Amino acid sequence: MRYAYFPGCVAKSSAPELYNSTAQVALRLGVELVELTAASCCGTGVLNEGDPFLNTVLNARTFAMAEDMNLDIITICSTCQGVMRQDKWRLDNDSNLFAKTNEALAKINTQYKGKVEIKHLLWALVEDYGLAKLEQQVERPLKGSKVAPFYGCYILRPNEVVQFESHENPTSFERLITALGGEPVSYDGKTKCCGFPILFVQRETAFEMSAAYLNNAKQAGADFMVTPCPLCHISLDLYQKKSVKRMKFDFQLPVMHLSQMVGLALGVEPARLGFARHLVSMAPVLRELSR
Amino acid sequence: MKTQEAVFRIFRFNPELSEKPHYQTFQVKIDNRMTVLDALEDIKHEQDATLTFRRSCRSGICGSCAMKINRLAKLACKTRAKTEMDNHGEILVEPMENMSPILRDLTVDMGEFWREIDRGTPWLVWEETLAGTIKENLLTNQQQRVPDTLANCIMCGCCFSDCVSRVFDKNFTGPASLAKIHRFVADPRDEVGEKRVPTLVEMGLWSCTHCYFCWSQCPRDVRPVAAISALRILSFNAGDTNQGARHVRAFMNSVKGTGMLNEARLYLETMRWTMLRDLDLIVKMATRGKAPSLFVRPIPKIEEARSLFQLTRGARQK
Amino acid sequence: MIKHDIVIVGAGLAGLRAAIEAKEKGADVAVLSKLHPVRSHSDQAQGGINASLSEDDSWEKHAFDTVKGSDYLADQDAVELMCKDAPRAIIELEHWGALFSRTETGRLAQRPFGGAGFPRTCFAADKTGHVLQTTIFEQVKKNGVHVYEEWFATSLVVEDNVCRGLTAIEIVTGEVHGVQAKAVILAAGGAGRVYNRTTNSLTTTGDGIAMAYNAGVPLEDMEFVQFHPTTLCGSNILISEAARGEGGYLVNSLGERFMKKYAPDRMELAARDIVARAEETEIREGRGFEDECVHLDLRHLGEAKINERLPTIRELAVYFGGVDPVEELIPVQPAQHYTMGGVPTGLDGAAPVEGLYAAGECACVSVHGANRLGGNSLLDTIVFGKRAGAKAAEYAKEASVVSFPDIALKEETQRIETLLNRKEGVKASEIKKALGSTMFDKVGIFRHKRELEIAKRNVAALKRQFTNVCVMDSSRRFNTSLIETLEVGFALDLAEVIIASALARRESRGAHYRLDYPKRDDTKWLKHTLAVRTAEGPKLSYKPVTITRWQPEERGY
Repeated sequence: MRYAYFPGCVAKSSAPELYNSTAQVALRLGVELVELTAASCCGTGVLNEGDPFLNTVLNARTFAMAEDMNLDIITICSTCQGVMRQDKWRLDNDSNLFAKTNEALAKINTQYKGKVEIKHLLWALVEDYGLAKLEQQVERPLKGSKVAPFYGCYILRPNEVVQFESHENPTSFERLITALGGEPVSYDGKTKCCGFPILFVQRETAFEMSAAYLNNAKQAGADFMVTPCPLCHISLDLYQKKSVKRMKFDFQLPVMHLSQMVGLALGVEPARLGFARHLVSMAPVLRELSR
Repeated sequence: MKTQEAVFRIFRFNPELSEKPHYQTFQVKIDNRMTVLDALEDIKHEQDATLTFRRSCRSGICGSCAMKINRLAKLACKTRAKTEMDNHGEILVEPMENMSPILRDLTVDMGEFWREIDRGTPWLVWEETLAGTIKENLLTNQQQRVPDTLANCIMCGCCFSDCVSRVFDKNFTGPASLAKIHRFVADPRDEVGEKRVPTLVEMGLWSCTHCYFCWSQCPRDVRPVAAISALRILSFNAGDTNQGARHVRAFMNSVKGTGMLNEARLYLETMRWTMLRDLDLIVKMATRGKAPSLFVRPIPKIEEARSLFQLTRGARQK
Repeated sequence: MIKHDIVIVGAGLAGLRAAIEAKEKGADVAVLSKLHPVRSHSDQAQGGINASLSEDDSWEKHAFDTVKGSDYLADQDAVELMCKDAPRAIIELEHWGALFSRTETGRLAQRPFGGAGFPRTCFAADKTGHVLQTTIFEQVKKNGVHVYEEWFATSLVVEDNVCRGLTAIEIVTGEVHGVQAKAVILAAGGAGRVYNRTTNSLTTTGDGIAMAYNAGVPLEDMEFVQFHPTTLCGSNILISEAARGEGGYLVNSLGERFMKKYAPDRMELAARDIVARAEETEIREGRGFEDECVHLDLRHLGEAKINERLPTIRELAVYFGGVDPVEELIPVQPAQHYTMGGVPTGLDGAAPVEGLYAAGECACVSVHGANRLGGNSLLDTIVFGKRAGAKAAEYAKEASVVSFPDIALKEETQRIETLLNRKEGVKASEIKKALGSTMFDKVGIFRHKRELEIAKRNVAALKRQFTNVCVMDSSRRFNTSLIETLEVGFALDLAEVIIASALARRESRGAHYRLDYPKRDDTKWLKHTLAVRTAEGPKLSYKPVTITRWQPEERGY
């Protein structure tokens, strides 16, 4: 398995633990990640509200890079995946846009051909690698840990863009958790929104959102939450204390990145997975697992 | 046609009786074609006449029968019972969210929804000197394409019900309201047009959290979130000084500057002095190696990416 | 007591157009509707709205097509008025923002439609009703007209042949109100749900027409019920005539375009009654498909055209019919669609009771006579809705306040109370089912004295059963079972009138086809039926048809 790797901005900036744990996972599984170092930010849905055509062209440039390598793109961020897939969907369904985009790309000597696929690591693990095979690689099973998957928005919706599984009753995350030896926990909000897109603009609302779903997961008995998106992780981990305080709750629920959870189960040393960087301590979970 | 037994678990509540809201289970024999509405009518006529819900056209155009089916707002007349059974093992039927009070069973008071629609001057401000003349405004199908999509809205309330932001922010006018406004902004015949946009900031234009539930749940493919993005672009281009617009500006500068984001600068430029609220956070992040650096090396071939900023501007102006 | 100058029952196109007009004329007007306005049945119309906009067309040609389409029963002065006003009425909607489909040069596009000698049907893809209803409701909001939303009108209060107002149930609370008004405009639509196979909404139950009848107002031409040729097999969801307007074919089980036998000139675009009878004949003679249908073939139109001009139809066929018309044939069958008859009105919407007006499908001006042309109903609503609104406003300005007899409210409240308190009895849904199938089988596309007599007896029996109907829900709050029960009551009354009028009319004309009297008989029957309620049932009388230019001719397509 070989992919053109788009880690996204946050993995290379405020969430190095995500970048590093992904590298560990790839190593263990024999997956080759060829990083697209010259690729620009996907736009995260924000650039799209300043200049949508520019956003599309920038992403098309990234797509073209992968196409030149004859590889599909893999990303470790739901938002990168969602935003890029949206641009791909627009390009593939609007011949006018496709033409205009390639007109611009021609000036920098490249073209988008429409062949590249954009996948999230979660899908690659479930489909390309296969859960049965993954299960065999597990060295430190999550030993019945109750794990609350937080899908969030971009990895599920809109259906016609994402096309991996229905957002009505997704199961990929739960199946992955089970394969790693954990016990997935169901709770209201697992497919809802962490509030990150409005975190800088209207933080109170974002706090209330993430607090509500963290609380639901906690009430449902979760030992930790796991997310496929580092932007969600910012909301759910970095701002957890503020969110919880605003709602006058009183609890802590540690939140893992997807790669960290997989890495942990595959036997990677916790120290190399970067849990120490989190604001909400993963110590209780790690203690349980090391018993 | 093959039939199977379906289990309906339906929300019941009649404020006139002193009962508490509760769920009642009904079994209905369904075939491949039956919709949830067909089943509700069946239950009402054969099993329990007190089951209360709205319905009218049974063909997905009037919007009466919007309700939550297996936790997502849908039109009952366009939701196939078998599909729901296959996907969820049961059919949970509840009233829509974000609209209260519940009047009875599955009917909600949609007042909140209508009030939000009314917040935005929801009619064409038309050229009144044309009154009585028989010359139509000239308009091509292409020019009408955007308003046409938005005018497919049947005001069912599904998007509003499932809007995550609306749950927590009652000032956010909601997807249907903003989609409706964009329908007029994008209509060349509207005398006000883009001048409608400045008022949208206080109605929560920047409060949409891009959860995409409105896109998913709309039975008419209106895609309100796309309308919201379009309105934000107009607001941004018109020099909106709201923090949301400022964030967009800072974001663009960051991408132009370094290709990948300079998270620290982006944060500071968006938040400005309000970053003081996060001082504690910043300190903690710094001590754990999570604080992004103020200096970010530009990506390789940054000039190439930067040149696109110029190229696309040219293409846009064409 | 709620008081207004004008109260309009029904918030579809006719009611809202009347409201805008009345408000503009300075009247204190309110609309009363059992549904939120945007849910009204007008929202469901698909195909289009007619006007002679083209230089190669003329209002005279439009009027002639309408008169011929009506099988010469329409009142020609009304038809002329409607056709003359059509361009203004439609362009007005465009000015208000209606998103009509356009030609390449940006003008309003027009398509051919059934029974029309020229393509004069303006359209908004195939969701014309939705577009117009949305536009008109927007303007109602702009004009600040008050709407009593989810109020169910139960009776018209008439005393000394003067309209006093009405009684209505506020559905949410169940409270019965008296609404005093100088003028009442009935615009509550047609009566499709008297039939079990109908394109109409579940809520199109003829309330306005029945209320008028119960208040002693004669009903006109009730025997003329239109059956639309193309409704989805089984659900009877409408597949617009536009499908045929854009070139669709109707085929039988032998693969023939059978319309060649019945209307060799216009083929699929003959008048609706002719096409419906043709289909029914094919089906009865064994050339249909299972489930009693024929096929509508749109495949040759191509995906692009279907997506541009008929997107709603495609979606409906896929979702509710299980077929994609781009690649497959759509199974269709005739079903009840429109009520040509209704409350008789003059050219300005005035009904035979002082202070009472009517417009839209519930009125009978008569512009549609024995059969309505596609695209003329939407036109009818806005032309006569406006006129009724104006006339009612004028009347209300001059008229003195009328008293509302308290006894009317007391009696109505008591009637409903009794109904609610009845603990046991017959289910309204059972009666409705039986009524619907009797009407479709015996008072349908092909009629015969024998069947009509049976229908008459059946309905009488159902009416007797109805005196013992039990609502099965004693709650006051949002009691939809009560509403449905009252609607069935209205349906039974109208069924009686339809049957009596059909029995009496011993000829075939337009949509009323008698197997025992298959010919049109102008000598004896060129006249409108009027039916008045008496204790012994509907009492019939007749009035002449107004002829201005066109003497009845042989009607072939």
